[in-house]
Amino acid sequence: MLEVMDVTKTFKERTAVSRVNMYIEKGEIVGLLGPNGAGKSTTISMISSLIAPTEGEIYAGGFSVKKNRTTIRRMIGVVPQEIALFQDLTALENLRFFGRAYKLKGSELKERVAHVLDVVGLTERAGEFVKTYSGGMKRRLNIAVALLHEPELLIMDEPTVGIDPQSRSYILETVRELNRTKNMTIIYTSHYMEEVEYLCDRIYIMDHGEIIAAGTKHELKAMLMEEDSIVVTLNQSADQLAEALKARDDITRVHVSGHEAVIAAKKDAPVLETVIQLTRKNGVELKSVEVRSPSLEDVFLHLTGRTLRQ
Amino acid sequence: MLGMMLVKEVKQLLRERSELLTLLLMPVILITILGSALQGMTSPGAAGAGQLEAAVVIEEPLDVSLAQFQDLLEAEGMPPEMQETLLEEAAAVSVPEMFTEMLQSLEEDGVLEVSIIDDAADVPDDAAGVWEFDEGYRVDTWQQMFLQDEVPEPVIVRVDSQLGIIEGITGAFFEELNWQKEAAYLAMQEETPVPEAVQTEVETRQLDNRSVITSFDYYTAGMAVMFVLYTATFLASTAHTERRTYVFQRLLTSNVPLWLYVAGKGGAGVLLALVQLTVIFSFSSLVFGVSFQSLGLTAVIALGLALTVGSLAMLLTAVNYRLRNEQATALFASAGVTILAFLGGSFFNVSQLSETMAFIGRMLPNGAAMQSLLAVMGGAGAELIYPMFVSVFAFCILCIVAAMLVFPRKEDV
Repeated sequence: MLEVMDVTKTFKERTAVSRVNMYIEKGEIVGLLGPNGAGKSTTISMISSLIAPTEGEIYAGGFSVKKNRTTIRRMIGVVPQEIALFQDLTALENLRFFGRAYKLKGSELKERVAHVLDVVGLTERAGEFVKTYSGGMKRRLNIAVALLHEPELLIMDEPTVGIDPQSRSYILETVRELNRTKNMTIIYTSHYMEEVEYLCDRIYIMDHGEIIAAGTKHELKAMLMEEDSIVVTLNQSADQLAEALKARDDITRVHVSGHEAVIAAKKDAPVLETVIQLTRKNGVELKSVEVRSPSLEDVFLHLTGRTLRQ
Repeated sequence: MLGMMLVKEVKQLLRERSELLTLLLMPVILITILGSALQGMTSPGAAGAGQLEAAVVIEEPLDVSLAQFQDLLEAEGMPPEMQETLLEEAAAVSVPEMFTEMLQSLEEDGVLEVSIIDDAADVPDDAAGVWEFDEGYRVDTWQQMFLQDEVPEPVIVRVDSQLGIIEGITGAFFEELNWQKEAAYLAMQEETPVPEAVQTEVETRQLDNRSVITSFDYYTAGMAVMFVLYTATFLASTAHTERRTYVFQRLLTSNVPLWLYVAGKGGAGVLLALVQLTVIFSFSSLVFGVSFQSLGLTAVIALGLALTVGSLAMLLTAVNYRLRNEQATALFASAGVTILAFLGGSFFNVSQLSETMAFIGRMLPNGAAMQSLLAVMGGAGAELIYPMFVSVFAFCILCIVAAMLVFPRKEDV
């Protein structure tokens, strides 16, 4: 369905995306995970034909994005990170406007508008101005517009930024449903790893404009199978403890965030005992300890030394 | 698609109360304030007019008038000595001569350039004001002064747009004359009542028989051509918001061509400007009785002005997209419109300041449209509005070509 081949995008002297390679099969949900500024939106914009790559080629449905812009645009639906809607128009007016832009007319337009309103659960509120909507409702309408022309490939750029858990859950379920019922191919970018983990069959992890890892979530987590992940919470800053832990051979990484430390240690190493000893020695009170299986967050930490939200 | 974009722009504007206030209410308020405040001046541009060309037509020589007056006195049975005294006094208080004397002193001060002629047909074409003293005027005024006869017919003052200063000169002269006459009677302490004033009113007619432009006419034209420019800034501003909020990119991904988007802004500019002008003109016509004389010509001027707004909206949109901000539009809305309005004569008639200013005003589409509107309001025919189309056409072409050059060709916006 989609092939991204050695794509690079340079803005003046800054390289936003460097030698990115991706492939997506028909009907897959593929996640693009990375912190802010990793190059996800630039990659999405190139796939959407909005910006041209400096180098490399992108093919969608067998067509070169560079050479068949019109065809590609009929094939894809884009849900931008921003609320790309007319705030002074009602939801219905927005949908009719963009529907006509997609060359829908008459009864077909009417049916498609009614359908997408139903999909995103806004039928009852369709006559209200967008500016009166909650953040979650705006996000849902933002998705509805991209679904009007029944795209084969849906590109969603951080569609759940800044909304309440209920709306987020609704959007995630909508995405799953679209994939299940319509066999829609979906590219989903986010810096919320739990969303990507929940939705996606395969994941590409980006950082500093490059793909640093790719695979199914199990394949990615397998990178950390030789490690245990322990999260400890102290009554004060964990910096001193982290320094002491880093000196030990069986501890591979320590990441500190305030009173919390995430410790990656070699499988079956006696880390708990060490942590308890060191906290006592440093006069620090241990508030909680959690031993957990590796998450995508841990994978990202392992690969970059940083968390996704840093 | 274009129609759909026009409908969208109209809906958006109708729901933007602050913009509606600027585009419709503000011009109406300013027409009311300025029109009322300067109601006495039929030409708000008169002040600071500089040196004006003027002419005085005295159809009858003084000695002919004196001879006629002598005949009258004889017919009244007046003794010859008294006749001689009255004739001497009459020669001393001849209104046309006194008036001419005053104008000549103004000429020495550099305010006017006066020609004194005896036939109305010889009035120079470029005369901004003409005072006509008909045959018999002197005799009528002497009869009224010395024989308590009826007040003579008023002096005919013909003016063009400089009426403010011409009317001021006329009024000042007759006020002074009447005051002196009243003072003279009081000084004589005679019991006879003070005679009626020589002249209290001036009959004004527009040169070439056009109607006089009132302050409401002037500011209806001035404010309309000024505030219509804000429609272009409104559209450019919405275009910037559409880029910032990704709506524009969404339109691109739905295969709306770049040119159609920009043309949509232009088309919306034309449509909204026409609606705006219709509202302003209708208000002025209904409330202040502003008459446009020819609705057809007014519509043609409004269309020319609307095309200007449309092309300007396209250019400002293109600049916003090129610069990726709306600073240029904000600058145009704050300073650009004011400068254009000033040069175009929306506040006062700057064409009287100098030939250069007059030329600049004529070259600007808003100035040219304003001149055309005033001409049509004054009853002029189509020939007076043709020059406007040169400047409007040139401006539109310039804006559209510049918009095409400035708008980012690649879709990396």
